[in-house]
Amino acid sequence: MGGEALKGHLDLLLLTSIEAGARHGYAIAEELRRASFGTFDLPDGTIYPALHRLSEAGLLTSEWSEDGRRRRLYTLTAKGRKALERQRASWENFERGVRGVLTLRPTR
Amino acid sequence: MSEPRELSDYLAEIAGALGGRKSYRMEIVAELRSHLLDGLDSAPTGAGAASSVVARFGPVEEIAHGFNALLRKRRLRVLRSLLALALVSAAGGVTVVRSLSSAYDPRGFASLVGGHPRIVVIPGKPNAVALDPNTGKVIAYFRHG
Repeated sequence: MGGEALKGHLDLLLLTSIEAGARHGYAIAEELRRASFGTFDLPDGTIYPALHRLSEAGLLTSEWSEDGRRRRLYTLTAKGRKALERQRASWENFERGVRGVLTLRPTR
Repeated sequence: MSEPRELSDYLAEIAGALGGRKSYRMEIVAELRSHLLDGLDSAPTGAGAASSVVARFGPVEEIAHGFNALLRKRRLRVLRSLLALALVSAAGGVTVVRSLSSAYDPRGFASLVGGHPRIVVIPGKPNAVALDPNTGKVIAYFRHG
């Protein structure tokens, strides 16, 4: 799935991948690729402006880790956790609706 | 392990396409560099390793565009706040505030300026200042009365 199709859902995917704990960009990109079985294969570099945007919105905080290679680690804030809950609920609702429609069968 | 020339050139190209202060650009490049080096560590060794890591990372224009759009939005926010302050000042609102208190948080006016700055009027002085509520730093001066 390319970048265009992912645009509306990228925030939800990024917030979810950070939910379990602090992550750096490379780990996030790998996680998205692995967990989606390769479906979400957007250019790695495009997640960074999104991570910075989420940080500016107060949904993430970041700090540099000096553990070997210098990397910026992102963590969910309380505001980010609430936003994630909202977005996840909204997505589940949408997904339920689409699934319901897709199960319709033409009458003969 | 030294950084392959291909990665250095790619990062230099990104740095050149980014807007903003040098320190801001360097921070971004440092973050992207660590990603590319992590990618290189995981890539199969061979002549094309650096090329495939760069290709997977994406086009320079697309990445720079994402950061530059953020920068433009940030600048626009600051500009809007300053403009709102100027409008409040021009409307003479500060004079009213002055009559109420020497250091007053004018909630009515705060809504006009987006709820951000705290306006402080010093009695006997012709200038008022707007303070950033988070840092306490002066972000604008304007005359009142």
